[in-house]
Amino acid sequence: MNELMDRQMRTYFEQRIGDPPAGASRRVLDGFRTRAAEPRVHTLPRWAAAVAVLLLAAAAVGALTWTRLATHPAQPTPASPPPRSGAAFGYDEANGRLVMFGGRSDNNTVLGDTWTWTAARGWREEHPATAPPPRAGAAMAYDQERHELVMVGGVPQDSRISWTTGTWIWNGTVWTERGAAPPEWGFSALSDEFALAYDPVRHSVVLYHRLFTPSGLHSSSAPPELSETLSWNGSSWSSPIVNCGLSSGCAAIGPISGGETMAFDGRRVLLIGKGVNQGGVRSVSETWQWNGGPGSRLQTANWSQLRPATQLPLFTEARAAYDPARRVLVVVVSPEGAYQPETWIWNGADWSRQDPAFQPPGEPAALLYDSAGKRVVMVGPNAAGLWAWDGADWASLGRPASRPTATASGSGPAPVAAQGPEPEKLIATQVSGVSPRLVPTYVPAGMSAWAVAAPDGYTLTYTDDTNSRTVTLGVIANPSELSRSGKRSTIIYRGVSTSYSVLDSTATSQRSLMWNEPGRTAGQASEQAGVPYFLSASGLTEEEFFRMAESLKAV
Amino acid sequence: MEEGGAVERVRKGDSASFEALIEPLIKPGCQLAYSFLHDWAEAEDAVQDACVNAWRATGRLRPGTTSLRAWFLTIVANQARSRRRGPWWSLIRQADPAAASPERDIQETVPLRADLEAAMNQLSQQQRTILMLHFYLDLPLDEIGRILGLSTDATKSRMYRATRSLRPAMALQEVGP
Repeated sequence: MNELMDRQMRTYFEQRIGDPPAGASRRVLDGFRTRAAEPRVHTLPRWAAAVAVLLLAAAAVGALTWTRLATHPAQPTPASPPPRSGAAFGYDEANGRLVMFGGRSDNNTVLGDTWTWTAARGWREEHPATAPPPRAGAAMAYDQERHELVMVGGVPQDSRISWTTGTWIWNGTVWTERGAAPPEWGFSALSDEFALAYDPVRHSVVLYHRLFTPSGLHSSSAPPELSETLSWNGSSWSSPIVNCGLSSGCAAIGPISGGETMAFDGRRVLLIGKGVNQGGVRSVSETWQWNGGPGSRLQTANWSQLRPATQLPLFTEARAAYDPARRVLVVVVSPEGAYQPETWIWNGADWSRQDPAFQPPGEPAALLYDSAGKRVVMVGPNAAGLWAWDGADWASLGRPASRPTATASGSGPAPVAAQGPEPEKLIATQVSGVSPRLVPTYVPAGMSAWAVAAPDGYTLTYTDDTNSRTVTLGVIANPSELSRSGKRSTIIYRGVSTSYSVLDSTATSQRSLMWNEPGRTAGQASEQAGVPYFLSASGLTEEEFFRMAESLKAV
Repeated sequence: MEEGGAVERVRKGDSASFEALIEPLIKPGCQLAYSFLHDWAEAEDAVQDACVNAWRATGRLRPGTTSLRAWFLTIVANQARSRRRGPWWSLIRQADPAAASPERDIQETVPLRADLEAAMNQLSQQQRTILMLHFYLDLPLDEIGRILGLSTDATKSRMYRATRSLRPAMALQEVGP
């Protein structure tokens, strides 16, 4: 199967892509040589093109549905965990705290820190006397019978080790390793194909786990479609119950799901995942219920598939938490091929899509029920940002966590002069017909700038090494009609009414501000019209964008 | 050429070394950009932009960098993505992957089975890109992760899910006539 996969994939892409047209390398290099020889800082006639570019940018600004935004007030940054992926989250009901452990940092370091959060005090790093080794991709569940958090799984820093072992318990103060790893644990070569949830009906933590061959992706003999389900009684794991996929033909049919999440829905534990249909050829979203029982290997009827009238969309990731106050399961899914996550509700029998006025962008890191606040809480991507579900809408529980990289860059004009001729100086000397001439004093770390300047206008563009983040600040000679793509709101910024636009709901979506700065441009009879400014960014978080926006100063 | 030394010269602004290192990456760069844009002219433009941006950023390459491949292909991917994103601040037409079906004449090549084609079409753009980088450009998963801004774990996971969803189509071909 492995060789067949290799061959078929290569053939597929050979036919769909193949080689570039003859001479492509020469044309690319010729063009590069010409453009690389151009000066980095331009005066006219490039200015006219720059204005056109900005006007086009303005043309992408669209209609408004979000209302959450306001300019970020200056306030001390609370202690908050550094951004990360793959952290494990759980809710410590005994102490009323959200708990986060480990994950993988921006620089690919696997972390072993423990953080707790409450609405009253925000995040706090814990320094327990004992803690598990660093890991990313672990899972936690609160054991209501024994009043402690259970954590298993995750990958360590050493990439030669495919899985961490051991079952770790958080009692609110320290971590303790207890019992052995789940049987056959370590069989998987992958990190995130499992889910953990507490089953209050059977008073045990349930672990669902897909099985893979140790060699992972490229096994020469295709593994059968198998999953196993185990339960934790507080001291040891049960023998695994093994199930087969729908298309396998075996009797013990169970979920073989990807992107899965598991949660109690008020009656039983549900597993929500993505599998293939009975013919084995079409991906479908699936909802399974855990019927429990001690089970034996290949026992049937441990899982049964539910057939709700409405199905979840096909998704890449899902997070779920039960809201006992409303008696519904809240699920946030990231539909395949869509940038916008969706919020869905399971009422015990069927799914319904919600239509919140504000949907936090990006794949959430976790959904948890905050029993102290009696609400479902969403942890945002990279463990940044917290939102609460009020039954109809998501509301922010505070500013997103500050990014250390942004903090480290500090304020001051240094990034502007980081490379090439100093754009700030160029603007101060060349742009004689605009007052005030604004430049940012804060630029996210790792970005460099160049300028396009003329007597009556300018643009400043910042990019990082890989062009994944871009910011443009400039004066628009004549703001045009705005198109209808994206979402637009009006906010008060720099003391004036300002158009704020966001292209889509991803965390680092393109966003822009357009406002008339009190002042004048050459040819204006008075200051009434002001100076039409434009600030636009792509690849920046909302926090970075507004921090930059609020740092503008006149030169 | 010993690549580590050449990268060091590139860091110091040696354009000849830069061209020497970039030239072999232009073909995979074009193929990567084409997978996003479905248009060779657009892909060439994206790679040319990526070359210019890469050259401007060479001063900030980390000391000790031994290969430009992942870094350069990251720039290419970002450039292609921003072109596909459509009008924001540049006059670039928005490619519609569904509408812009492959330009090549499939009849000229070995026909693909419809089930594989259908299965591939069900994958996300990101999953197809991961498969392309891995199976066609032979890049390791950690490098693919760096290019696409994913952790290695996430790349592995997405790769697995993609191959898993293709497996039925593959199996059909395996046992078919």
